[in-house]
Amino acid sequence: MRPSLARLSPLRSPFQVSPITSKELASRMRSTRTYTVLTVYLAIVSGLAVLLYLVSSLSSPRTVGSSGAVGTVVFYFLVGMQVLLVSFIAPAFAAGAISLERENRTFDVLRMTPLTPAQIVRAKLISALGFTLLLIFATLPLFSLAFLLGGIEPFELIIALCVVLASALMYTLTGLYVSSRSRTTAGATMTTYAIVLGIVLGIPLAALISSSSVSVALSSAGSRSWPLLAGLFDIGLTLAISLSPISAIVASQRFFTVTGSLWTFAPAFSGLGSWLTLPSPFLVLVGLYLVASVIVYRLTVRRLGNIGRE
Amino acid sequence: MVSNLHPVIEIRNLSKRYGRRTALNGINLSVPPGAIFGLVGRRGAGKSTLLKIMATLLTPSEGDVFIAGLSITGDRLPQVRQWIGYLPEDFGVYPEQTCAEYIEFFAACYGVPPKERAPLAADLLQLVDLYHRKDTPADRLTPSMRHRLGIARILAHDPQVLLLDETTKSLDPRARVETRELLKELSGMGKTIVITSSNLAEVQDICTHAAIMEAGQITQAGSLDEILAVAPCHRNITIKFLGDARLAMNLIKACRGVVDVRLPAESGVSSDALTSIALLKELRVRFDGAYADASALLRSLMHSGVQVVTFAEES
Repeated sequence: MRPSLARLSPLRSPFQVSPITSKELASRMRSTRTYTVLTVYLAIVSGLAVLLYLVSSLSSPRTVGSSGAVGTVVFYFLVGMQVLLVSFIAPAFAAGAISLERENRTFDVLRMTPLTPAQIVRAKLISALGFTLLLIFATLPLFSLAFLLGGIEPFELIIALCVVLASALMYTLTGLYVSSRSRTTAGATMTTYAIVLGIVLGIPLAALISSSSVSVALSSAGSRSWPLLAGLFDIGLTLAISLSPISAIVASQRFFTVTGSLWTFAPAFSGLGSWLTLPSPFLVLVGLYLVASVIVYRLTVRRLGNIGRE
Repeated sequence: MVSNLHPVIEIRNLSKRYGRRTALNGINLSVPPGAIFGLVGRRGAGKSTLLKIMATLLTPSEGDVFIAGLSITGDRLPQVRQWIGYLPEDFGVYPEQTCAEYIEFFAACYGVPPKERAPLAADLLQLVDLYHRKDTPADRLTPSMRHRLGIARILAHDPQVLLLDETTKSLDPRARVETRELLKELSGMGKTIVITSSNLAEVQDICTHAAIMEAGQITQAGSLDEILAVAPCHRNITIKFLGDARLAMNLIKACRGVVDVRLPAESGVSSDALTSIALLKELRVRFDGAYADASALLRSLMHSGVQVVTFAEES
């Protein structure tokens, strides 16, 4: 009997949950490791946040508005933990998504199904991202401690969330792409960590080192007549700062405090004043990461589609 | 229904190259509907590569394969895949899934509606005699049970073409017999089955058609009778027994399928020892009969008072 045409497409609507996503989320939520990771993560983050609150409130003078300073410390600690989470946990979940199928000899069987490479990649992305999002949203109630103490505006939480979510998407897709190219999960995990750590820590460090030396050189050369060079330097450094979630959040908050504008700022890294207005680093990061995510997604789909065609 | 006039699998001028190495060279082959087709050849002959191309997992360097008239190199891959069930020689299962969940997962991947999945899994597990293990984690099954689960999995979307790579190789004798019976049952259900093996004798009991592969080429292809006429398959059976060796040899020679019987050259058994009932003796039989003939040979020896200690086919 010829197979029914109704059965040709396993996913009839783009909003239908893929069987791969269902399987992976179900098996993840069945595992005791999931609850252990969630419990330990929340216990560590909340414990440290309370400790930070106690230390900050004991060490700061008891004046009007001092609780606001403590609130800011707690808030940025929590944001830092979110960034660490997406930098370390998201790649770990994604890096094994395809290479583990290869190692377990289930990949050929999965490729044999009518699921397209794009459907497989989307399903793997959703299931890898799902748990990271669960961890991110599980820590959101802790932010109420920071808001209770004051010193934090709601838009700062929105900035932080935008950056963290864009980073989670980008790093998960990076892990998936590396996984689609790697033979082993260990190799895929190490490569993904190297890339993500390079972005999160390497780029801001390099920018910091180069910025101080370049701005000194520009100032000592008395280069007030070189506005173009100074402008290019400002744009380059803004881009570098905007590539890392840590530096993007810190810089966005700093520029807002100085200029009072959430969306734009006038960079003056060269120390020569500024004639440019650029989008805030968090906006640049979100934009860059979304574009990069689309590119990496398409590369992963193409890679999966090309398996067996070499 | 596929017309009986047209082959369900048609391979036209197929070649596969990996850099300079040619894995398959100019393969032309037709598999009629309902056939159990044996692809026989030594390791490295290209059987698994050919099967992977038929399963749409590899693309050919040249030529094409048509499954029910649909090209595997065209843009109708999802339709082609609905026709095929492929069981690799070595495949994994998801350790976190039970046997029933494993079948239901693949049924979902092939678009079987949610309400039909659980009854389908139960039916398939019953077919492969694993229903009593439906709630057992798939990775805790024995190799032969896991193999049967694999067969159930490839039937989840009711494909008409089953591609089985070295399907009985890693199985114990009992599981081999069970698998053969299962394949016959599936063939009776109208499925076209292609199986690979390195030994023609291993598949001759179930195959209706066969092709011999050597160095990436088909050297012979046709119905099983045609293949056996040009390439009789010999297997070696070693028999250890207590009793008169001359009597045993005469009995064996009289049996159907026996090509040759001899004492191992290194045994150096004296004439007296050959007839001594107490001494353990060994005979090597070249045999090209079916398994039923081998069974008849064993029965004949035992009925004649030869005390058979071991009766083993050499791998």
